[in-house]
Amino acid sequence: VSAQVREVAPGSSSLAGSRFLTWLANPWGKARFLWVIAIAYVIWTLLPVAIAVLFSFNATRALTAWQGFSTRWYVGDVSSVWNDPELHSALLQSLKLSGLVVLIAVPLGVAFALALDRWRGRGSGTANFVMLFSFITPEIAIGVALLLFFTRVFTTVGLGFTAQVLGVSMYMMAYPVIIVRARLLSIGADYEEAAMDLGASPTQAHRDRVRGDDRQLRDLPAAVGQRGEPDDPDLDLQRRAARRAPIGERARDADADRVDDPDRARGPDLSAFHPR
Amino acid sequence: VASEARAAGRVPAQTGGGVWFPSWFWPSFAAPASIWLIVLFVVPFYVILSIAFGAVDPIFLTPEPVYNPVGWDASSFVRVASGFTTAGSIYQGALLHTAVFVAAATALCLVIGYPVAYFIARHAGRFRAVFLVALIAPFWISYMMRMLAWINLLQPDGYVNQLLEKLGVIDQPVQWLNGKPVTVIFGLAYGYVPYMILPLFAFLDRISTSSLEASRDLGAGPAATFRRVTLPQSRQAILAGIVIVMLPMFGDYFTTALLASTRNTAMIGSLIVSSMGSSLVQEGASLVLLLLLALIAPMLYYLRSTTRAVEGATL
Repeated sequence: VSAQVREVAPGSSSLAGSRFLTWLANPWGKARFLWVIAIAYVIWTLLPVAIAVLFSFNATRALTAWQGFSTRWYVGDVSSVWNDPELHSALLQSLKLSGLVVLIAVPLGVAFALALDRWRGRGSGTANFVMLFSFITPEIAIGVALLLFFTRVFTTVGLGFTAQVLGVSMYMMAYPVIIVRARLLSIGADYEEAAMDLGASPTQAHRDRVRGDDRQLRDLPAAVGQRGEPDDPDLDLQRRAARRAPIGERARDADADRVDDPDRARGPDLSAFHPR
Repeated sequence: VASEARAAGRVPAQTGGGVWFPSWFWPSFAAPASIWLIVLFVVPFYVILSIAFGAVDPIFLTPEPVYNPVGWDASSFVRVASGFTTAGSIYQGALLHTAVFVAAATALCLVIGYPVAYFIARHAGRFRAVFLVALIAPFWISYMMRMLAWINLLQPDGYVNQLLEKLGVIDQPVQWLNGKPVTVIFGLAYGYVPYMILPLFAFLDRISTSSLEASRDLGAGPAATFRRVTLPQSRQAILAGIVIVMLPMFGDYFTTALLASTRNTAMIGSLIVSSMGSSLVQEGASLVLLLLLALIAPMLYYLRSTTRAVEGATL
């Protein structure tokens, strides 16, 4: 720590600046240099989003100058979320999509995690591998694969809402699997064995273990599935950006219209499969 | 004992807790998800293969998937692959941009992420929970929202230029969104740095304080302790973090599309996206295959290290 700090100390020009750097570099104090970095990091990550949220309450359309508080972009204005039918339906579409995806991905994922926790026979390794592979494959590859699948093979479904639900639920399924499985592994089978030794039936024992220790964890993927939020830093498994749904696409298109660049190569809409 | 052995995968489940269940019972739980994966993941990938190696309709010039590997024709795949080695081609340009952007952004993630993770693991004290919440918060905000936030800030009259002008760094507004590679690199780093920090933190947090104290007792200063104890022990975490941010960055088309989207910032992802909408579907499918081929080593490394972590969790 202090080694990093000492490099900073020389090279200060003004008196106040040098005093600040001496204070910063004091090796007997707290790790001030790291405090500064960490606080700067938090500001850097969160402030832009906070500003964007703030500007959604701006009184005018301006994106770079604050002109007073107003809720007109939510309710009231013709192009507010409440009044613009397009925004309205995009919002509903997002909610519908994420709701359905949670309803499909969480039960499938939890059942899969329970199965992998118990079933060590032939095939379980492959199943686990394929699941994890779907989790780390770059989204664009999955998007292209599903696009070609639904436009060339599974044409009875074709592109649209059903395809969206199917594709996103497959891609999101790994989150509940990873979270529940990690938790089951850390609980271990001991509780269940103890319960059976004490006379509980296997079903009872399993239920009690899962209900008792896992309640939060079974709820967590549901809460998390909507955002695709990974958890449990102990397992180094978190790596994905929060998923976004059509409301985001809508916003992106709005933005794309604003920047008029002749070179802008606007590709086709992979959004049906590509939650980003 | 039985459960430990079972967790390590040596003994089938029948000797563990599942003794009263028929052998098909637990596998049947995996069936629905497995069907989902086969139909929506494995089969679609086979479709990519059969289009990349498939034929082209002579009249409509649309790709015709060939499902039988015997009839596969690699000419389109080879054409795309050789495009990467042709100087000045659009493929080579995209490959170069992707490599440079990903390398720079990954390095930036590490340089920013390591001190932050180190700080939270060691020095945050009673503010640790607050910092952890701040670390996790970006995961709850959509990537898209976070990029859009920067678009506003980076406008010619946006806050970034205003700030830089006030500080006297620049005299006139910088056109950040006009296809500047540096904007894309910062965008990528901004988007993915949380994924670097969390595994680093989890790892640094597990380094026992006794080995640090031992190092100090044996006369090493803080810098030497860091260099000779902490850094070697976190090498694995650094590698994992690099792979975690690198994999999605290689497939990213979104950041460059939003923050730059000119030809001189096009990445491989951008090529794939634009080829899907044109008559170049076959080229797009080949590009996806090449991308996966390039990423297979880091992907397998990641799978191996996480599987080990999962199994290690029970021991």
